[in-house]
Amino acid sequence: MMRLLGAHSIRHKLMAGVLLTTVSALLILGTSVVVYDLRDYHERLLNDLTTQAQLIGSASAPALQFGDPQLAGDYLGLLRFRPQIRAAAIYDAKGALFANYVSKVAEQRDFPPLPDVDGEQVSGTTLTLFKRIIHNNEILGTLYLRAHYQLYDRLWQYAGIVLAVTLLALVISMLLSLWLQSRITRPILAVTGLARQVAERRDYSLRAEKSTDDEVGYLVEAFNELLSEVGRRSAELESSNSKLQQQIRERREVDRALHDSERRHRTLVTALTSVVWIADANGDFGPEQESWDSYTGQEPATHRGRGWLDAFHEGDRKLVAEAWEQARNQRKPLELEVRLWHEDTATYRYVFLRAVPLLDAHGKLIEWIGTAEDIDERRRAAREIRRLNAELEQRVSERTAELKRAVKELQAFSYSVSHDLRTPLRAIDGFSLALVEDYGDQLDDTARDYIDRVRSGAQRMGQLIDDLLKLSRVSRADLSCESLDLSEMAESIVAAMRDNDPEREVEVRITSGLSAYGDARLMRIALENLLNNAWKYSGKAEQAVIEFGMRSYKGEPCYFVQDNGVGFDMAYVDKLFNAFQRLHDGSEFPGTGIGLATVQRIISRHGGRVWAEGSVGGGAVFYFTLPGQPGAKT
Amino acid sequence: MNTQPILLVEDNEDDAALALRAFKKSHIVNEIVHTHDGVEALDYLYGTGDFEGRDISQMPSVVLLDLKLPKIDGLEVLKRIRAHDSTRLLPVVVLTSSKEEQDLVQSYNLGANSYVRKPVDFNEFVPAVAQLGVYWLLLNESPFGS
Repeated sequence: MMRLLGAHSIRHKLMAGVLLTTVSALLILGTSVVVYDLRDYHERLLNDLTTQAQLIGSASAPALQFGDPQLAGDYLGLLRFRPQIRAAAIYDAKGALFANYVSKVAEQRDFPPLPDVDGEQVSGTTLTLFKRIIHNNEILGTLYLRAHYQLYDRLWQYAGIVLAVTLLALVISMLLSLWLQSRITRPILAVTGLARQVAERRDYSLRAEKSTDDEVGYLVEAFNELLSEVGRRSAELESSNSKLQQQIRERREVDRALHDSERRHRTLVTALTSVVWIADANGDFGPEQESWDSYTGQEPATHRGRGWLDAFHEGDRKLVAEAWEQARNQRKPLELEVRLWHEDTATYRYVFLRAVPLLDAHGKLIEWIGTAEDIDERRRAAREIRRLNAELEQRVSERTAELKRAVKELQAFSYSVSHDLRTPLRAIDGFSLALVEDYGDQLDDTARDYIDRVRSGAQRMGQLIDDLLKLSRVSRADLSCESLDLSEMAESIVAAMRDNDPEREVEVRITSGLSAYGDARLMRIALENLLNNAWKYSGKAEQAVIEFGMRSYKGEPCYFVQDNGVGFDMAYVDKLFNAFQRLHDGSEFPGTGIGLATVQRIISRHGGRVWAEGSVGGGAVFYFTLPGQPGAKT
Repeated sequence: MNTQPILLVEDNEDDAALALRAFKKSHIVNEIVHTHDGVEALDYLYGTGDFEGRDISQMPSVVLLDLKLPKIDGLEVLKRIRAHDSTRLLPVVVLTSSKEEQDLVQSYNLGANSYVRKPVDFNEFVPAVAQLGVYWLLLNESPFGS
């Protein structure tokens, strides 16, 4: 029943409820009324018959006493006013039929031959009653009444009435329920339909219309609130959903990047010529050490735990083990050059063993990642290089020693030159002079002229030797560089020249504040030579002008010494700086031809350059540069 | 004027002759003792060898010392002179052809009193010797007295 109800709509449930209620109420009421009425009818009929029997019994007592059946029959005939009594009879004390009566409408006309005991009996539509006729405590006879018993007729009548009323009530209650439905179920159905729409269209902006203020109204309101709540939640869900999707997309990208990175990593590990290995936090090898095993020929069973240490050369094993323990204790990277067994070549090869600890975000040691880079070839090459270097160094030191020896010999040579070459010259000069002095009166002019030539030759030779020694000293001397004021230096040199040659009228222009960085002694010699040359070769100029300054030569700043003297032919400019090369006649301009060679040595020892420009009769300019030259201060 | 001899240590006869001539031209009349190498010079100073028995209390007024000498060179002679008590204060003038800086520096380091370079031109040599004479024989007070 419940299931049946449950399967139907609320409308049907309501209607069924109303109808069932009505029907059951009517049935219970009808049955009660009918049962009560039938009992009442039965008792009234019985009372009536009993009273009738006593009346007739009392009335007919004398007739019985007197044996007058006529009289008794008259009394019985009065029963015709009670049509429902169909038959009556009086029996005498002996039980014989004394008088009787039969109604005109009676179907049954016979009588029982003997009276029964007092009491009533219902049989079908007939009620029979026996009553003793007692007068003065003497049983005179018995009265018999037979009545038409209408109980079943009444029952059927009632059934009809109940049925009719029930039908009417059903109709009325159905109408009522229809009205109720319109009042109660319609708003509910509207809400239901709306809910279906919401479910189908996912439109949470729909709202049910509130038509009443009762529970249904509350329901509508609650539903609307629910809808807006659902709409809000749904929006939240959607936004959270889209966020989630975004996160998932990002996650997927990260995953892909991670995957790529891992693949790259793997490829890298494969491409690496180094052996790559991983040890756990205890420093033990796990089973997977493909790279290690393929190099060393070990396998999981042999490299397990600290078994990997056995792959090292016996002589290095202790070193590795100790360094490993130390690295583990300090969690510091390990770096070692040791010999590792190489299975393919069946030799121990030098590897660069390196291990770094991998720590998690909390600084906890997770594992060790290590490499073993085969550096055997490199070591061999390095050894070869070292050997070659040593050889080279040996050769260099040998060559240096040779050079030193050569320099020493040169020094000894120049020392010897300085002492011994001059001694005979002194003899030549001295004794020539002695000859003139002591025996001059015996010599004619020609002889004296010869002796003069001998002496000047000797003196010139002495000068040559001096200049040569100076040149060799310039080459040998150590440079001790400092900041120099070249202008000041030039001024003092010019002053000395003026002292030596006071008759000369020379205009000397020196740019002041020219500084340089160099060896003071050597730079003075260089400047002396250049300025002396300028002084010497401008000797025949009408108005000699010597200039020392700085100017740009092809974009390069350089010092210069210029004169307006005889100059030189540019065709021979190459010979200018060679020792003993002279462009002028010694009688015209005395000199040894070593000065400019000395200048060149000095400038080139300073890392600079010197060159010259000139023309015959047009003077000469000597340019020189010095590295790191500060140039003119002003 | 100091009349003690001048000790000339010079292996080259030409140079020695020229020196003697220069002394003469400078009117230096002191006796010139000419030794030809370092050994001979030291023998003279300390009265050994060929000079066995010499009165070594008679020290020269000045030693003119060439640097390039056979057997024992001039710098070594100078070193020994300065190392020996009797000659520690003896005036020594280095007289040499060399203009080498190392010679000059070493000579002074070893205690040479003067350093004179023998010029090629004899006309320059004479004044140099004359100056020497004036200084060491005339002006300088010898530690050994006169």
